[in-house]
Amino acid sequence: MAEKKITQADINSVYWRSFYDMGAINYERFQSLGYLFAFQKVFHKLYDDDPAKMKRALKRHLEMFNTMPLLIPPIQGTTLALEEKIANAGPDEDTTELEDSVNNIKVGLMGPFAGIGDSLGWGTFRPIACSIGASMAAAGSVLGPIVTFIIWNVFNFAFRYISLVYGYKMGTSMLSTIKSSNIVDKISTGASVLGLMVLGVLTASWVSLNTGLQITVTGNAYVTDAAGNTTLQEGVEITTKIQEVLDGLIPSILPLCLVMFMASLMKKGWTTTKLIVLVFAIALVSTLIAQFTGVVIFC
Amino acid sequence: MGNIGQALIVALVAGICEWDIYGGFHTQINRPILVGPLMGLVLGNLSMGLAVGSGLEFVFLGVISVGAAIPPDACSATALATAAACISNGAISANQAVSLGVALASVAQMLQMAIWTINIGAMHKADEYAEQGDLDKTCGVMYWTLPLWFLQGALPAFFLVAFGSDVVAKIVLPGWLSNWLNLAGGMMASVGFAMLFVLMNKPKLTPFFMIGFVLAAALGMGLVPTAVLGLAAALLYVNNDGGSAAPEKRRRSREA
Repeated sequence: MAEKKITQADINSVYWRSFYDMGAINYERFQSLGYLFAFQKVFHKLYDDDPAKMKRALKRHLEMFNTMPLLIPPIQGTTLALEEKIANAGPDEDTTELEDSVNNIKVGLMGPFAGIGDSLGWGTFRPIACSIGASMAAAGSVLGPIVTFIIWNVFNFAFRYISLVYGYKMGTSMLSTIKSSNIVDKISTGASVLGLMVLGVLTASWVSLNTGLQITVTGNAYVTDAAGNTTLQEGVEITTKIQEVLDGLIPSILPLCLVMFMASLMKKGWTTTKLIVLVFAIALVSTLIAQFTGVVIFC
Repeated sequence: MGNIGQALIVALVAGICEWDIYGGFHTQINRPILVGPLMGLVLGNLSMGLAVGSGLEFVFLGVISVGAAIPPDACSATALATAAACISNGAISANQAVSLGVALASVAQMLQMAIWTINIGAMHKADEYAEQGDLDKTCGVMYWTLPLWFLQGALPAFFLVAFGSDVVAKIVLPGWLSNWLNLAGGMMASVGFAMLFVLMNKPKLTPFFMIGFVLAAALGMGLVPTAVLGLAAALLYVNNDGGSAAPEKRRRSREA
C-alpha cells in the first residue's frame, strides 16, 4: 500500500476551507461540523479506500468542539498529522489509541486556546485595530475603515496559515508542550496587561458622561466691581458647577465610575442585554427629570 | 418602485458583512467601523456612514463573544441604523442613529440565536450522513447552513430600504427623545468596556488599567503610544513575574 502523504496542496485546501469554521455553529456541538468541513478533500485522500476508518473519522470530528476561531487552524494542524498516521497504519494495526488521541488533543487544546484567543484576539488586538480606524473615521477620514481592515487582515490571513503549518509540524507534541510549559499563562497574562492599559485609554476617551448638577448658595462674598474695588457684599448667589470640580480632580472620572459600576454588575451575573437596558433606563430617568424639573443630572 | 433596486444592493452589502461573522473569513467587515462606511457608500452618504460606523464601533468595541455566548449583533444593527439615517433625509442625526443601532443590536441578536438553534437540526442531519460513512454528504450540510448568515443580515436591510423609507423620512423626533438617545449613546460604550474589564482583570493587574486611564485622562495620551507602553509593560511584567523562574536563571548564569 502506497504511503499517503499530506502535501502542500492538502495544507492549502485545509487552510482555505478552515475559514468556514463557524459556518454551522449551533448550541449543541458548536464548531464541530465546520472543523470537519476543512478536512473534506484530505479525508477523501486518506480514507476513501477504508470505509470503516472513514466512518469513525466522521463521527469523531462531529463531537462537540468550540474555541476561538483564529486558533482553530493550529489545532487542525495537529490533528491533521494524527489523521495521516491513522490512515497509514497497516490493516492489522490497532489504531484505537491514535484515534482516541485526536479528540483528546482537540479537547485539551480548545480550553486554553479559547482563553488566550478571547483575551488577546478579541479583547486586545481587535479593539486596538478597530479603535485606531474609528478615531480616524470619527474625524471624517475615509482612511479609518481601510486602516482597520488592513491591520486586522494581514494578521488574520498570515496567522492562520503559519499556525496551521506549525500545528502540523508539531503534531502531538503541541499538547504536551503547552501542558508542560507555562506559555499559555504567560501569553494570557501579558495580553491582559496590554489589554487593560488600552482599556484605560478607551474608558477615558470614548465613554461620554457629564453631570449638569450645580450647587447655588446665597451668602456673603467678596465681590470685585468694575472699578476694581473689592467689597464684602451680602446676599450674593454663588454657583458651583459639579462637573468643573470633578474635572479639576481628574477628567473623565464619571465615565470611569460608570465602567466600574457596569463591571461590578457583570460580575454579579448581569448579561450584556440587561446592562444595555439599564443604560437606556438611567438615561431616560435623567432626561425626564431634566425635562420636567430643569435639573440636569447627566448629560 | 425605484427603491427596490437600491434595497437589493443594500441587502447584498449588509448580507456579505453579516456573513463575515459566522459564514467565513472573519475579515471583520462585520465591525461597525466597516459596515457603516460601506452602507453609507452604497446609499450615497459616506460621511454619515463614517459617523454612524465610528460611533457604533466605540459602543461595541468591547462587546465580544466569550466562550459560547452570542453577543449583541453590532453588524446588522449598524447596517440598519446607517441605512435609516441615510434615507431619512436628515430627520435622524448620526448620534441618534448610534442609539438606534444599540437598541437594534439586541433584536438582531435574537435572529442569530434562532439560527444557532436551527443549526442543531443540521447537526443531526450530519450525524445521519456520518453514520452512512458519506463524507461529501456530511460536509454538504454546510451548504445549507452557510447561506442563513447572509440572509440574516440581508433580509432586514432589504425590508427597511424597500418599504421603510417613506416612514423613516417622516420621523420627527421630539427634543426629549433626542436628548435621551444621545445620552444613552454616550454611556453605552461602558457596557462593552466593562465586559472586557471583567474578562481581563485580575486584582494584581488592576494597576495597569489605572495607569492607562490616567495617561489618557490627565495627560491626554493617545491610543497607539499607550499601546506601545502597554506592550513594554507586558513584556517587563511577564518576564519578571513571580520570581520563580528568575532566581533559577540567575543561579545558572553565575555558575557558568
